[in-house]
Amino acid sequence: MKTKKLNKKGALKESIEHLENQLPLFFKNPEIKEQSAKIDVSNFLGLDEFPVYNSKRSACRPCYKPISKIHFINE
Amino acid sequence: MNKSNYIRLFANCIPVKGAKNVIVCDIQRSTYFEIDMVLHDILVAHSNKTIEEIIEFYGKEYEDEILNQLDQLQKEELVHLTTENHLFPKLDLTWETPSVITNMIIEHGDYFQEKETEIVNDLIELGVQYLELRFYVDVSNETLQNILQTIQKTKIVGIYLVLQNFPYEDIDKFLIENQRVVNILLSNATDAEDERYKDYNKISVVKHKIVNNKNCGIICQNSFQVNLDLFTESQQFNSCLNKKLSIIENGDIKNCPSIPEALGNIKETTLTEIFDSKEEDVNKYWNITKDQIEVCKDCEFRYICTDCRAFRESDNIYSKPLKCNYNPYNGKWEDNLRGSK
Repeated sequence: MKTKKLNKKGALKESIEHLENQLPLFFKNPEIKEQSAKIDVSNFLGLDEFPVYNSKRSACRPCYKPISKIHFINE
Repeated sequence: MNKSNYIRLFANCIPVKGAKNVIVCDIQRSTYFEIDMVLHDILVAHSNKTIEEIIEFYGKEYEDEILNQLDQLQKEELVHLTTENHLFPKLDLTWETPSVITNMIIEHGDYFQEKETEIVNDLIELGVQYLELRFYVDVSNETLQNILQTIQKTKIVGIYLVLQNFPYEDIDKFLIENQRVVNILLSNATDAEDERYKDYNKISVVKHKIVNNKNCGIICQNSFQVNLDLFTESQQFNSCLNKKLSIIENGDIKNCPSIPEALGNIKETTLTEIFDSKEEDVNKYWNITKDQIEVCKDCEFRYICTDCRAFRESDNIYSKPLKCNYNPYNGKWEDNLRGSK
């Protein structure tokens, strides 16, 4: 009786290789080359000199009350 | 309207009763509504009664009028109907802040260059959130830019500038690069400057020359702010001077630039040293609430206006602000502003 060889050597490997192309990036094991180049942020307005306070950029807001009443002048 | 229901103000809509008028402060939508004195009693004194019981209390002849008024309140989204009156507690009006000092006013002077580092360190140490930087003379763009760059190290979220001149050609570039600047008041402005800045929300111009801190203290409707922070702070503390510290032109450290008492001089001490050694003097005015001040205690605007202790009607520390021309006993703003000149 002739049996069908389902697990033909090499066939499975080929199919996985095909699948791997469709896998999301995090399943793959890409080669990572360490980048040591500095990023120039001088022209980038989203960052300031002190990164720890960057979050404050979005928090900039007026005071909930007049900080002084010098702004209210009767002209 | 189902008359077996209770009528309740939304928790963020808080009535404030004055001698003649009542307002409902909507601290969520930042606005206030004037309401009738009787309506105030219905909402406050009779809050544990159903609409039916309220009508019974005032008499059947007033039913249409009461229902009409309540309907108006409902349309304005100030009240809601409920059968479960007990499930709607009042808002907690406690005010808290993590900062030792929330607001700081600095008048630029000769002392600044020498003491810049100490001042900026203290701004960080004290957790200052808002800063008003005043210049009574013209300033160069280098000076202003240096100061603004140094302040970037702090946790300040809003900077107010009071300037005699605006030393930058490109306004947009300045505003984008200095996003913490939330408002610029340009004093002594010409007609041309008025025209140049008219489309900028962050820049306001006055033709009047602001020469010193005597120009401060005017209380008017434009200065009213309806929000949770001011409303709650006003319940326990002075709405202007609480957690405020200032350095005036000659380096004197004060609670407010316009009050006479100096706590020390920045050339000889630091802000944190002053706060630690003279805490009682620093917070002399901090706990004076509007409910303790003569006339203001009968004013319906007392929790949405900011007080002034520097310019008062008398030496009495609890007397009415001199530059307020509102009379809560007749509900009118007088034409002549006392002490504004």
